[in-house]
Amino acid sequence: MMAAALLLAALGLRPWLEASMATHMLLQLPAIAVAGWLLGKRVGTRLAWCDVQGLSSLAIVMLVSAYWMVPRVLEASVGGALMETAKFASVLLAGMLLQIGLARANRIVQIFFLGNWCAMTAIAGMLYQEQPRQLCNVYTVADQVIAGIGLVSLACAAALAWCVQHHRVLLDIEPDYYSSAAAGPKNSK
Amino acid sequence: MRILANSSSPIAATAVALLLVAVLGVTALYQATLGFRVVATEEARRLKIREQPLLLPAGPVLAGLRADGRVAIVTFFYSRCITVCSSLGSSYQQLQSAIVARGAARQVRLLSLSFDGRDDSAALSAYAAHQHADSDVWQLAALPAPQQRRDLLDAFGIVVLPAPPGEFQHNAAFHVVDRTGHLRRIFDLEQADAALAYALNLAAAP
Repeated sequence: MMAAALLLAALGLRPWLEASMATHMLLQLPAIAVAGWLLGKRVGTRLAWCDVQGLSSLAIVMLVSAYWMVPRVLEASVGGALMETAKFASVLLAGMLLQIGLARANRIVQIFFLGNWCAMTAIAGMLYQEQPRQLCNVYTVADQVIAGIGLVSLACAAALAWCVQHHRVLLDIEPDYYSSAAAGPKNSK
Repeated sequence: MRILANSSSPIAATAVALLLVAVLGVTALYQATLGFRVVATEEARRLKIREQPLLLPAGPVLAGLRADGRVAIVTFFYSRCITVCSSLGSSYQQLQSAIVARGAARQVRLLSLSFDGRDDSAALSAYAAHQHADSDVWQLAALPAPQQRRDLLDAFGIVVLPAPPGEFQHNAAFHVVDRTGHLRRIFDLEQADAALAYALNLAAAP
C-alpha cells in the first residue's frame, strides 16, 4: 500500500531527510501529506455536515501548512519527540483533508483556496531566500535558500497541476457551469 | 455542534467549525511565534532570554563566573575556526581595548569558551597569544566533560553543526552573563558596542 510505504519512508529516513531544510520541507513533509491524501480517498465522509464546500477541511490545510513553514517550529521537530509526532499527525491529517476538502469544493472555492495556499507558500519561499540570517540554527543559510527556491517551485507546480487537471474547462472544451446555466454540478456533494 | 448537525443548516455548522479551526490555528501560530514576534529560532532564543534571564547549569563555568564576580561577555568558539571566529577575535580585541581604555577591567571581562573537544590548554594558549588576549580582561577556557559541555551549550541555546572539513558552524553571538551567573542578554556580533554598554550598565547596578 502506497500510503503506508510513503509514511514509513518519511519516518525511517528521518535522519537523512531532516539533515537538510530542503529535503525536510520538500521531500518529507510532502511525502507525509501525499500519504494522507491517499488515505483520504478511503476514509468515509462523515463530517460533511460541518464542511460545506470543504471549507473547514481546507482551512485546516491552510493553517497546518502555515504552521510548519515557521522555521522555529520546523526546527523544533528535529530531535523533539513531541513536535515530531505532532508534525507527522498534523501533516497526515492535512493531506487527508486536502483530498476530502477539494472533493467537496466547487472550482471557485478550489481556486480561492489554492490561490491563497500558493501565494503563502511562494512568499514564504521568497522570504527564506532573502533572509541573510539563519532561520533555523540547525540549518545553514545556503540550505534555507534551496528550501526557499523549492517552496516557490512547489507553489508554481501546485497551481500548474490544478490548471492541467481542469484544462478542459479552462480551454472551453467543456462548458463551465459557473459562468452559464449549461451543465449541472457534477462533483460530489 | 451535534445540535447544529441535527438542525437543517450545514452552513451554520460549517461557520462554527471554521471559527473553531481559526481559533485553534491562530492560537498555535501565536504560541509558535511568541506572540507574532519571531519566526527564526535564534530570534526566539534572544527574546526569551531578554524576558526571562536564565541561570546557567551548575558546573565549573558557573562556579568560575560566580567566583570571578565580574559581568562577563561570553562567546563560544573553537580555535581552528578560520571564518566567523577570526572576525569575532578582532571584535573581541576591540572590546578588550575598550574595556581597558575605560578602566573597566574590574567590572567587565571577556570569556571565550571552546566547544571543540580537540582544544586543549596548549591550543587555547596559542590562540590567546595570537589574539593578543590580555589575561586580566580576556580569559579562554575549554568546556569540561562532554556531558557538561552539552548541558552548557543547551542552556545557552548554542547549536554546533559539524561542517567539513574539521570545521563547525554555530550561532555565534555575545552573551552577557551577570555576576550571579544569569544569562541576561544576547547581542549580535555586529553589536559589540551595545553589548559592552549593557554589560557596564549591569556592572554599575547594585
